Amino acid sequence: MTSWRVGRFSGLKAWAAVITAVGLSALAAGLASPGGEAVAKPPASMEFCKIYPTAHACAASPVVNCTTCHTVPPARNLFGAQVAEHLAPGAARPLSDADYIAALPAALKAVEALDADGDGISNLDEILKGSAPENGDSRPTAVSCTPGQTRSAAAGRWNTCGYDPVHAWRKVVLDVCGRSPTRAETDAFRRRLPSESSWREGISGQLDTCLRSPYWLGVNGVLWNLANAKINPQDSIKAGPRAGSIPLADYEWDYNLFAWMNTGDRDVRGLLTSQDFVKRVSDDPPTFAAVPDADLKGMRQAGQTVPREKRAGMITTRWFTTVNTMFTPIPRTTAAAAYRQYLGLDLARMQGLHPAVAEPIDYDAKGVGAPACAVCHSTLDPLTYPFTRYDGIIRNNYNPNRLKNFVRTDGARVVEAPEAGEIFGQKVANLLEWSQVAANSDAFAQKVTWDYWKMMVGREPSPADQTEFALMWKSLKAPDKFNYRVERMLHALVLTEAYGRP
Amino acid sequence: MRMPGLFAALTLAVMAAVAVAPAVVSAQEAAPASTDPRIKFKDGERYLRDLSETFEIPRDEICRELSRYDCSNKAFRIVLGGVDPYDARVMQPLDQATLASPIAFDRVALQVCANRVARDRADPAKALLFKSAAGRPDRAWRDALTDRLYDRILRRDASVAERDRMAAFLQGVEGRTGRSARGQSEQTLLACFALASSAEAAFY
Amino acid sequence: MNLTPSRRGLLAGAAASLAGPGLARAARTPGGADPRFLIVLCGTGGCSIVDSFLAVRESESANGSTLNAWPDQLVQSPGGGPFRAIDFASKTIGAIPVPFTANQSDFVKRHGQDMMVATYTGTSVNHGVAEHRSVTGNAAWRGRTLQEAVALTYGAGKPIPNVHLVNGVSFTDRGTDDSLPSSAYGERAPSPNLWPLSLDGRKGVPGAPDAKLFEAARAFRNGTLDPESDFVRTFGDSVRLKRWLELRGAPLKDIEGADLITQLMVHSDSEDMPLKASGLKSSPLAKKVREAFPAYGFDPLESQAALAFLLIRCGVASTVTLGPETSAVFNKGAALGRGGLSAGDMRNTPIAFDFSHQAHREVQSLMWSRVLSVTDRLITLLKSEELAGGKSYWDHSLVYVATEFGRSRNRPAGAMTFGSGHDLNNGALIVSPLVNGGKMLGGVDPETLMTYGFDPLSGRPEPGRHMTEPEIFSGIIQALGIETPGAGLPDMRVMRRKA
Repeated sequence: MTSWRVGRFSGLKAWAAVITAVGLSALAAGLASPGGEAVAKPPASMEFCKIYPTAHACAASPVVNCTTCHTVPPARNLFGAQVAEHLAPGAARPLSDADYIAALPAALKAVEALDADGDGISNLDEILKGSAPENGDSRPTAVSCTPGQTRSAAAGRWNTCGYDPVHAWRKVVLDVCGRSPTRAETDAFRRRLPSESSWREGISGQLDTCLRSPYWLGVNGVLWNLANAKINPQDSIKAGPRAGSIPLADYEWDYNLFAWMNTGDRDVRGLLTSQDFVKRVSDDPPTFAAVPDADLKGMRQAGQTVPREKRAGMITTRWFTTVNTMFTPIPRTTAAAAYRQYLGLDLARMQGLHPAVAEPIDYDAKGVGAPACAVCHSTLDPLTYPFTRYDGIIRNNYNPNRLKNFVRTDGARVVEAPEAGEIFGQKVANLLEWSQVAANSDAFAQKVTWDYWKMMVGREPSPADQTEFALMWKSLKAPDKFNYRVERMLHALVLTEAYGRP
Repeated sequence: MRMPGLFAALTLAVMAAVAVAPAVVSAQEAAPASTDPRIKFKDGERYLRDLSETFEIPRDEICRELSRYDCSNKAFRIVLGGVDPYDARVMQPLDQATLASPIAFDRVALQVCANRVARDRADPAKALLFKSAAGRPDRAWRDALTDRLYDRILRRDASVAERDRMAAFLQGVEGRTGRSARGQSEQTLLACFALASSAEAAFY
Repeated sequence: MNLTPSRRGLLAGAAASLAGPGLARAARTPGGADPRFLIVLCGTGGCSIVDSFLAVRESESANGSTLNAWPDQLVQSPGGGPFRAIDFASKTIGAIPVPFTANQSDFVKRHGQDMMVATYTGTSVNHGVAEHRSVTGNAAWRGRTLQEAVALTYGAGKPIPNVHLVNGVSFTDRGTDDSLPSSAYGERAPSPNLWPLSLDGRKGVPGAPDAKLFEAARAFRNGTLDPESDFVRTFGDSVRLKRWLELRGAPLKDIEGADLITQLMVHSDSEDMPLKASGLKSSPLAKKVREAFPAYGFDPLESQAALAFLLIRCGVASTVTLGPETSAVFNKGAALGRGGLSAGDMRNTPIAFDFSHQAHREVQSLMWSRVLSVTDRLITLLKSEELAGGKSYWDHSLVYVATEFGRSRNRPAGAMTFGSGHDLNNGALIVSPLVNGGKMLGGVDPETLMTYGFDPLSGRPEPGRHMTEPEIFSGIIQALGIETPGAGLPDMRVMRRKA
């Protein structure tokens, strides 16, 4: 089998910055500097893939990363600088989005034969084969084995020419059980090798066993740590056991819910939609159970105060609203955190921009309507409105009249902020609808898959991984494949070449 | 577009190169090195867990800095690939090794080996690594030591070449350690350290 | 710009351009004759210049009651110089019943001659993005950070040129200039108190062999065992593995050769830290450092500052980055539930300066006071140690209080307690004998409380002008004497000493 792989790939975070769709409103004005210097063009990400549909980076996503042309937008990298030299020469800057899109194909064509990073490989070759045209250390490398090499590799310690079941199985034990297999276990697995169905069963069975282990499921285990960045625990304000100096909320409930939705036959979309409240029943073996609402009474600081019918998984928990919303009427940080941690879209890095018409309105008079701010706030503010009815610190409840409490501090207009908002260009009436749209999006499936991919494979999905990665996240969504069950996805992931080829 | 069955797709893409039966190796074509290696660091916790098992030392006794601070959980948690979201606010393992990482790893490997050798010296009947030679250390003694080390640290047999290399090392340091039991235990410690801090012990 | 390139600068520049990625070390040029040290002290969360050195009195503003103009009696003008200072005491921090007293004027009195405030307006209200831009000048010089630039120029011969002591912030993220050797990148020191133990593979390990034998084992491993192993032959192209193997070479020798496990050990021998029983020792400067930072055992900022001083003084680093972290820090034994909190019990607010969202004035005062107190003690230590030729370490140092952004200026009419948002408009505090000390560059409009800029050559205030992140970055780089061939940075002459 031959596949084009990148010899060395540093710095490209194609999947960390998936832009699922980019609005085509006039964003350039907010990004242009007075001197008419470099201007970032978010619409380019999608246009690039229309021009090069067979590019490696476009194989599983309709957009490419901004870093294809930029270092820190709007500053350009070497490739971007070459493109810019050929982009509508002589035309006045800044270009409108329409003029830019019209001129882009010719500019890209003009630099196809050039070599921006001086590595001896043309820009076009690098684009098509998936290495970075601006990085001299990134080169496509043919990875084919001759028949003789294939035979030798298969007989050697590691089958570097393809999927190596022993190598993969050993990784499963280490990754998911947290230990190396014993020699006896390894010998037993090797005896399965003559039968493909047998070794597949061996890997699958081992994975099932390890997915129940304290290393995977327990406190401070793998799943727990996967949630760290999403939950953002802080011991100083922890309530419940081992309370901090100012106990406000207990993050352990969030970790329980996270583990619950990522295990067993449960639908991982529950991270954004679940109305369950989950407790950890035992530590060894780690088991969880949903807590009936009646049992929540008396758990004032540690528990959940949002009524069941208003809950939206991880983004309405007591902890989440405490650390993100705090005392804020229009909690943009909360919405941005949800967008970033569960959909993989970082607005601060111009990802996931979907400017809404006539936004931002700036109900709380924070000055977000200024052109430079509106670039992001035209997306962020309507994204945030559904969160405005959820209290932060102390109350942590759903309160439709909440904004009245902020008139004194944030102005009379703050009460006009609606509960209805917008996500991915789609209007939603409240946070429950918001979370349904989010949970069913490609971005959600990609983010879930990306998190596990990075952890298990050991790196973010590279261009060389895109075929297998795309298969994973699309199958996660498919009702007849993984149907949003993470453990089913993991069973497939450990059988990928990305995981199992030494 | 209809997607092929998942497993079928994976099989087509991946299984073609899997050869499960031993093959005749062409003298001209050695197995190629991995062209896209994705090996990962075995963080401090898993490393110590593995050695705790094979060195038969309880996990909470196997490595403690200043006799108090667990090497993985406390002393070198972050530099050896762990996380600490609560106090240090390190949510994910560091992307790459720090300057301190291999030094700390050496330190942990040395501590673990010294721990095991000390226990072997204290109770020879239950010794696992250091076993005193009947007379002067000879090749057989060195090979037996090598075999024990590879078995317990890397969980596999040493190859002939690996035995040769280790034997040469042990013989080389004997001039400084001496041949006494104490010297032999020191040789054991040094060989243990070299292997326990090797790349194969640290990565997978 | 008309800077005369020095030989050292040329060599450093050549090293930078020739060294590729990977662990190529920066050329070992003799940088010792006139070293420079950069201390980046992070004002994590948004420390506002109008709540400190550019404070406006209520009586000075027609809009004073609805803007963040302070009561007249709380705004000092220490020594009659250009810097204001707010000395403020409060019984609560917003809704948290913890009294405190904050003081800024003492710092101004002690260090006013070395202080420079330069106004500017940033470009992002996002914490992570803005933190990074505050040290890269928003990619002013190919995306390299200030710390990387200093490590590259002045780090030659130092075992760990660039050390990051603060956690959880983007002030310490790597820059985006891939042309730099990795020796310029920041080294994380996540737990300052125990970190020195990770800097020696053998000392203090019970039952360790002697040094020669230990090195023989390492040499066997590095020269024979690993290179000839199937594992390394198979996976040798792994970036992770390559880095690991390279780190075990010269970098390790440099670190262990400098005996950093001793030099950087702040702790004394105690039950908690039984150094003697393990054959280890405290740093010769440990007592002095502990006296300056007595809370080093439990206050992360003080433990960082203690180590920061040692890193500079012991020739380990040319730049250190430290700062308050985002967890609340309390005095030992203090807790809300145990009979309440006493005055000063909260040493660091949750989310540091960003807790201004809840209680702007209280948080700004308390946290500025905290940052200035640590800076003062660090400066005192650096002044007390001679570097060479009668000059102290301080004479060669620069403290840059980096922060993300300022805070919003409006408040409910007459309110003392209110929340604030992020505002791009702010100013930077730089303290150093290398800068134009005693100088306020730019000013503040009392009717809006917005800062305005200055002419970078003459220093003349220019209402209507807003200085940029690249300009502040350039001013710091130039004050530190770093050559910037081909970088196209603006000449910020007025920010340098003896402009």
